[in-house]
Amino acid sequence: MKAWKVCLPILAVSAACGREENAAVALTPRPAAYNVDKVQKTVEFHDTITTFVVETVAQKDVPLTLKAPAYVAARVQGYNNIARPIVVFDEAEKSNVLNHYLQKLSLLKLAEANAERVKDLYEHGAATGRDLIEAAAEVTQIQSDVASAEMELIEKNFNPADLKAPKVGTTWLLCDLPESELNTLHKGMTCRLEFPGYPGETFTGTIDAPAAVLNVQTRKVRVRIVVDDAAHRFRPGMYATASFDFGHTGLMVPRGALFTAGSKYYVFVQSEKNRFHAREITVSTDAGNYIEVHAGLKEGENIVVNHVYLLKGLVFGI
Amino acid sequence: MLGITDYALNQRFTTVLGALALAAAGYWAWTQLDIEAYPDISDNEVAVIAQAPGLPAEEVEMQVTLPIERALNTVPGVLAKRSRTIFGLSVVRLTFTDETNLFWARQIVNEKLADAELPAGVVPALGPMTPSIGEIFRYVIEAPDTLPLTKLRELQDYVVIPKILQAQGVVDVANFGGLVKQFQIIVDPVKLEKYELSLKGLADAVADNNRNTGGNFINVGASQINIRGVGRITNVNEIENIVIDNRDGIPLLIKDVATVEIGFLPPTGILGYVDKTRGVAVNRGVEGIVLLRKFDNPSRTVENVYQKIDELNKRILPKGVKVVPFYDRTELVDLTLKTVTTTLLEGMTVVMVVLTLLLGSWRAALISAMAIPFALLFAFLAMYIAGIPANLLSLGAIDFGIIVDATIVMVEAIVRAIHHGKGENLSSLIRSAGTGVRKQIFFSIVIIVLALLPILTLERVEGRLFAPMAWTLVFAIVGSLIYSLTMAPVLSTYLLGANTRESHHMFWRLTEAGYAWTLKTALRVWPLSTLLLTGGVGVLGYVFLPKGAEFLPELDEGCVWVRVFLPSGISLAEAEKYSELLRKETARFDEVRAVMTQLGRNDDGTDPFGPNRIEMLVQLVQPYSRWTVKRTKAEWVLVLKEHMQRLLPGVAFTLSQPIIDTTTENATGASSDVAVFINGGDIGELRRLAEEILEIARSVRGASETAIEQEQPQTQLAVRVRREAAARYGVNVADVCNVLETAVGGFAVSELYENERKFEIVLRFPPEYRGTPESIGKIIVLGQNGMRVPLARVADVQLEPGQTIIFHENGNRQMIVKSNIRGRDQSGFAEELDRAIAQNVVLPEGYEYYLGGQFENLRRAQRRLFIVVPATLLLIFATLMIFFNNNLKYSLVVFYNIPIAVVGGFFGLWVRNMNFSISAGVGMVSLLGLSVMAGVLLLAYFNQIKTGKDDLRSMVVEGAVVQFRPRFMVMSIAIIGLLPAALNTGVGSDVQRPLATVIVGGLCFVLVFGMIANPLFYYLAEKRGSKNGSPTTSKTIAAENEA
Repeated sequence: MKAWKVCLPILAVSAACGREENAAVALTPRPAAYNVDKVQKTVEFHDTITTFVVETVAQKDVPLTLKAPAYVAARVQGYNNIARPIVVFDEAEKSNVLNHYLQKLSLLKLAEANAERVKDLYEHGAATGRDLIEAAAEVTQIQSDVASAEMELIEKNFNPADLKAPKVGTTWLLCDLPESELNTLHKGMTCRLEFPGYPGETFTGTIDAPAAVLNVQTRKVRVRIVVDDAAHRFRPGMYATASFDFGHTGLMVPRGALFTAGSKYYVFVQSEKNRFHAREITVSTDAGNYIEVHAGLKEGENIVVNHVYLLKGLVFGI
Repeated sequence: MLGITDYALNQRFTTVLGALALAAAGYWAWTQLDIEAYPDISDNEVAVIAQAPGLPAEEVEMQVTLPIERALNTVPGVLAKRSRTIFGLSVVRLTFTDETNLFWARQIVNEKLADAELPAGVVPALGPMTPSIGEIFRYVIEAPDTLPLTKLRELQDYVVIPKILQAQGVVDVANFGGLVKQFQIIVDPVKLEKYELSLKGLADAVADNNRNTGGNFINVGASQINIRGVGRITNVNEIENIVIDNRDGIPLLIKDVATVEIGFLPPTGILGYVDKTRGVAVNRGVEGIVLLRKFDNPSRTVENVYQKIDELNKRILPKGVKVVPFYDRTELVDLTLKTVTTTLLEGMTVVMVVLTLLLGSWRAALISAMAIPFALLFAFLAMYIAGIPANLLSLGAIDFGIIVDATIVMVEAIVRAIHHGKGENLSSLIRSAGTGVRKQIFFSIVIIVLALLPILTLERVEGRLFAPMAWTLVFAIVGSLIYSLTMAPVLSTYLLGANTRESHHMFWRLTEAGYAWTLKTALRVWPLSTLLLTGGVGVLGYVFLPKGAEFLPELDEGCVWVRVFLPSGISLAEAEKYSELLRKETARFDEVRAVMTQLGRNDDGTDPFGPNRIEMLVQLVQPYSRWTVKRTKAEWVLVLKEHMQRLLPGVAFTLSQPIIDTTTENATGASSDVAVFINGGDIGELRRLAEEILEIARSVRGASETAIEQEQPQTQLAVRVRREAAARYGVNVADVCNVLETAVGGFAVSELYENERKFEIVLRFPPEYRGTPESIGKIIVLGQNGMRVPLARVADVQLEPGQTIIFHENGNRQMIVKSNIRGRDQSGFAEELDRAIAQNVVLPEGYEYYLGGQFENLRRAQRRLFIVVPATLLLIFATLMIFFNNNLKYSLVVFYNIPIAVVGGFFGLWVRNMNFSISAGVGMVSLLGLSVMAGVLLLAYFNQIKTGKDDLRSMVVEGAVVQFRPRFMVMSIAIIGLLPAALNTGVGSDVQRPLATVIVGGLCFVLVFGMIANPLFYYLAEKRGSKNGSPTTSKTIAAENEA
C-alpha cells in the first residue's frame, strides 16, 4: 500500500499538468482601435486612451524681435564759440563729403546771387547776353555739383536736408537688416538700442529712412536710426545692437503641431471628432512658439497640437 | 572493462579507497567549477565601430561603412558580415565560425582595418570583447537633486567607471545618460559681423592660445632645470580673455564677441528609471552597463564588481552620491539555481524513496542511491578536467533515474541471486550475479552514450546550449557505469547479508501477476497483439505527431525587454515624454518591481539607435507566485503589450527578454522569432518590397509585433553648395563646412583640462541663430577675398528625405520584416509565411529574400539532426548486433523500442500542449538509448535461460516475469527522476521541461508497450526459427543447418 501512496499523487500531478503549455491566451478579442487609410493619409479612432488636443487655426499677431548690429555714424554737437553745430562722423571721409556738400551749397548760393545780379544788369543793359548765359551756366554747373554731393551723402546713408541744418544732440546710427525684413520696417518705427559701453541700459531710436540701395553681396539694406543724445553720451564709432520689435500677423500654428515627412511639413487636421488627416503645408515666419503657415491651411480649421508623431506613425509608418 | 567487476571484488578495500578518492576529487572539482545560469551561446564576433560625427547615414555608408566592409572582405573564417549605419555612426559586425580563435580574429580585423580609406578624423575601433550575453550588470548613480547631471556624469566618467574597470572579468563599462560638460563659446553673430571676424578665426585663436610645451632644460651651476611653457587654458576667465585680433593696438578678446559658459554636449541618450522597491523615480539619470569579458565567469565577475562598488560607496564618492545596482545577472543565476536545486533535490529524494519501496530493502536502496552522488562527483571532476563549465541548464537536465538504472540492474540481480541462492557462498553469489549482468549494463550504457552523440554535433547557439548538457550526462552516466560495475558489487558484499530477500510486496505480486496474465494473453492472440503493437503504435504516432516546431521554448529570464519604435524624425525632447509615460504606465502594474528606459543611444556607439528608439527593461516581482492576479508571465506580457499599444498608437513594440534578444540579433541579424531578410541594391525598392511583405506577414495567424526593422526615412536639412555662386563670392566648400561644423554643429575646437579631466571647448551660435532653416540660411560665410555672404546665397538650404538607418549583409543592402509569434509554433508560421511570399511577391532581378531570426536556428538544428540522428540509429543498431553476436532478429526486437519511445515522446508533448523544439529533440535523442536498455536486459536474460527449455512460450513468459522487476524499476525510476524537471515552472526550467516531458512520455510508452512488445516479438522471432515450438539455440541452428 505504501507504494500506491507514492504513485497515486505522482500520477495525479502528471494528469493535472496536461495541455497547459502554449495554450493560446484567451483574451477577449478587442475591436480594432483605429482605421488608417495610408493613401488618403487619414486615421479614424474608435477606441483610444490617448487624448489628442486640437486648436483652431486663426490669424494671430505674434511679437517678433529682429536684432541687428548698428554703429554710431554721426553726431551733431555744438561748441560755445561756434555758431553753427558741428556734425562729427565716424570716418573722415564722410566729413569730407559733408564739407564738400556744404561748400557746394555755398557756391550755389553765390552763383545764384551772381546770376540774379547779372540778370538785373542785363535788363538794365549793363550786362551782355553772354554774361547772362555764363551766369546761368555757372548756376547749373554748381547745382549739378550740389546734386552730386547730395548723392554721395545719400550713398553714405545720410539725409542732406538733415545735415544742412542739423539739430544739436541728434545722433544717427546705421544698421544693416536683411532684405526679407524690408516689408516690416518703415520710417518712424522705433527700436531698442543697447551699447556695450552702457551695459544694462536701453535707449530708444527711430528709423529715419531705409537706404535706397541694397547690398548685392550681403543682401542687406542699411537703415538709418536717429536717437536723441542731448546728454552727449554717444560717440561716432560706438557699436550697438538694435532690436526691432514688431508684431507679425499671419495664420499661426503652434510649433508642436508641425512634423516633417520626406521633405515636407505637415499638420494633422481634424475632420471629425476622432478623425484626422495629414495635410501638407508650407511655412514662412518662425515666431518662437508659433510658426506662420503660408499655404495649406484655412482659418477656422482644427489641427492637432500634441502627439502628432503618434499619428505620423499610423499614417506614414514608423 | 568487463573484468573490472572481478578486480573490484578481489580488491574490495582498494576499490572503496579509489571510489572515495574519486569522490573527494569530484567534490574539489565542484568547488572550482565556474557556474553559469546559461552558457555563453553567442557566436565569436568582432565589432568595428566608427563614429563620424555630423554625417548623415548615406554619407557614413559611402565614406565609412563601405570602405571598412571592403577592407574586411578577405578576413578568413567569417560566417556573416553585417553592418548598421545611422547618422554619425557605423557599426560593422563580423560573425566567425566556432573554430575561429577570437583573439586571432580580432588581430586580423585590426590589421585589415588599416587598409580602409576613411575620412580624416574617423578612427574605427574594435568593440569590446564581450559575448552577446555580456551585459551582466547595470547600475545607476544617485545623488541629491542639487548635484547637476554634468557633475554626475563627470563622476561616472572619471571616478566610477575607472574603478569598476579594475574588477576582474570586466572588459568595459558603457555609459548611458547624463550630460557631458563642455566649455561653450556662444558667439554673437551680430558682433562677429560688427568686427568683421570669422568663426574660423575665432576657432584658430582658441586653439593657438591653448598649449603647454616643454623647452628641454638649462644648466644653472650644477643644477639642471627643466623648462616648461605653460599656456593651457584652465578656466572660463582665461577663455574669455583670449585675443582674437588687434585693432590699432587695442586687443579684441573673445568676450567682446561671445559669452563663455559651462554647458553640455547635446545628449544622444536619456536614461530614466523607476524602482518601486526603493520608491525612487528618476527622469534623467546616469547608468553604467558592465560588460563581461568573453570566457570569464559572470557570477565571479559580478562579485568583483560588488567589491568595487562597495569601495566606491564607502570611501571614494562624495557624500550623498552612491552607486546603486539595478540589474544583476546573478539574480537570474540564483533563481535558476533555486529551480535547479529544487528539481535535483526533489528528483533525488523521490528516486531514493521509490527505490526503497521497490527494492524492499533499505540497504539495497542505499547501495543503488549512492550511485547518484558518485556519478555527479565523477561528472564534476571530468567537467573540470575537460574545461566544461557547469551551467544550470546542463545540471537541471540530469535524470537521476538514468544514473541509478545501471546500479539498479546490478543490485536487483544480486538481490535475486542471494534470494534464490540459499546456502551458497555470498561472495560467489554476488560475483556470479554481477558477471551475469555486466555485459548488458555495459552495452546499455554504451548505447545511451552513443545516443547522446548527435547533441555534440549541434552547431552555434543550440550546440553551445546543449553540448555541455550532453557532456554532463555522458560523464555522469560513465560514472554510474563505473559505480555499478565496481562499488555496487563491493558494497553489496559489505551491506547485504545471506538473509537478503527480494521484496514480495503486494505491489509486486499484483503487478507481476497482471503482467504475466497480459503477456500470456498477448502471446495467445499474437496476430492481434502484433497488429496493435505495430499498427496501433503507428496510428498513435500519426495522431500525436507534433504539428509545429520551434527553436527553443521561451527561456524565462525573470524580466521583460521591450523595444519601442517611435516614428522616425522625432526629436529627443519629444520622445522623452513618451519614455516617461511608458515608465509610469508600466510601473503601475503590481507585477513590476522596477522599470528602466534607455532613450536614444549610449556614448560609445555600440547601439546604433536614433532618438526614436527606446529600450525598456522591466524587472518583475519574484517569485511569480507572489503576483496578486493569478496569471502566467506570458499572459501578463500580452496584457502589457495591449496596454502600451492602446496608450501609444502609431508606435511599434517588440517584447522579448534581454539575453535572447541580443543573442538572436547578433547571431541572425534580427531579434524576433521570425524575420524576412530582403537583400538588394536600391533602398527605395527594398522598402517597397518590405512593405508588401509586411502586409502579408500581418495576415498570417500568430503574427505579433510585426513591423519593418528599419525606420522610415527621416527629414534632413541639406545644405547643398551651389558651386558657381560660391565661386563668384570666393567661397569654398570648406568654408561652408566649417560654418556648419562650428556655428551649427558645435564641434570641439580645443580642450580644457581640470586636473585629469578633459572637457571640450566648442564654438556655437546661440540657438536663435541656428535653430531654423531660415536662420541657418542667414549665417554669414566669409569668402576668400573678405566678402561676407549669407549662406543661402551660396547654398541651397532645404529639407530633404534621408535614411534613418541602413543595413548591410555581406555587402548587400538589406531590409528586414520581423515578427514575433504568439499562440502557435515557429515552424508552421514560417512555412506559411514563406509560401505566402512566394505566391504573392514578385522580386525584381538582383533581389532575394530568406527567412531567419530564431527560426534560422531551428532550421539549422533540424538539418543537422536529420543527418546525425539516422547515423546514430545505425550506430545503435550496430552495437546491438555486436551485443547479440550479429543476430539480426534480436537486434530488431530490441530496436523496436525506439519507435515506441518516440511515439511516447510525442504523446508527452501532446498532453502538455508543447511544440516540438530543439529541447524536445534533445530529449528524444536522450531517449533512444534508454529505451533499448530494457529490451537488452530482457533478451540477454532470455538467451541465458533458453538452453534446455522446450516450451518457448513458457520460457518467454517466465523470463519476462523474472525480468519484469528490474525493467520496471529501471524505467519507472527514470520516469520518476525526471518528473520534477517536467513539472517545474520556475525561472530556469524552460529548457528542461520539454526535454524531461519527452523522456517521461517515451519511457511511459516503453513501460506499457515495450514490456509486451519485446517478449512478443522475441517469441515470434524464435517461433519462426524453430520448428517444434522450442527456443532456438545455437545447437538447434547448427543441427538444422547440418540437416
